[in-house]
Amino acid sequence: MARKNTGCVLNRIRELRFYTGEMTQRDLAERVGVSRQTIVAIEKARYAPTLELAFRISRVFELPLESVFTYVEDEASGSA
Amino acid sequence: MNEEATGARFNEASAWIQLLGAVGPFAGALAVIMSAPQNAGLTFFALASATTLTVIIQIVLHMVAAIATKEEPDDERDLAISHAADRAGGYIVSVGLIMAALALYWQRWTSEAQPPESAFRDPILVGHFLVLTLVVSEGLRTLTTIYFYRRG
Repeated sequence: MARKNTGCVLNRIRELRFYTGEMTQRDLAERVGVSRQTIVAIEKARYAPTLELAFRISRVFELPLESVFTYVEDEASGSA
Repeated sequence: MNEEATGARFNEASAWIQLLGAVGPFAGALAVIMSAPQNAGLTFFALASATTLTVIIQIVLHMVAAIATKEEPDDERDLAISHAADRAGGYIVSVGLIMAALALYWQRWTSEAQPPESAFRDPILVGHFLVLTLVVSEGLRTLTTIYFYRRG
């Protein structure tokens, strides 16, 4: 039986923007081709980007995908 | 510069316009219809007036919104929000259509038992219900859109 998906995708975009010369959300949005509001939503973990967008964001920071995004499972879903 | 504040975008502005631009005219139409629910002519006039007024209000306000907001193409989050809102509205339409069909069957089956002057024998009540379903569906669709944009 399929387990209910209760995890979320966290990310280090805010931190990485800081280390990349305080890149603005607008700059990042323009480089990956989305709106600034979408970057805001992703940073707050309110919106999980598609795999394609996640790769595009990772390439901006010249890091592998898993260094930027992390999938975290809730306690309730467990690892059983 | 405060980067946490999300600016008004056309899609969100459009959702607000659709919601608020329809509430006034259709609330007025509802008040008129409820004053004489079996008057088909008045119902038609009220709905036609409300629809016309809503269209005019929305055209004008959308033009203002298009001028006031920066033009940018929809991205994947915009499409995801649009799909979620359409799904929410679609549920209401589905339930409303099924209930309207059941109401028609019920009217047919019980027509002999109802007195001739009973409002329950009047098919226009099902018409009212169908229009209400569409209005509620559209309201829920726009509310869902606004919720997801406001959530950030």
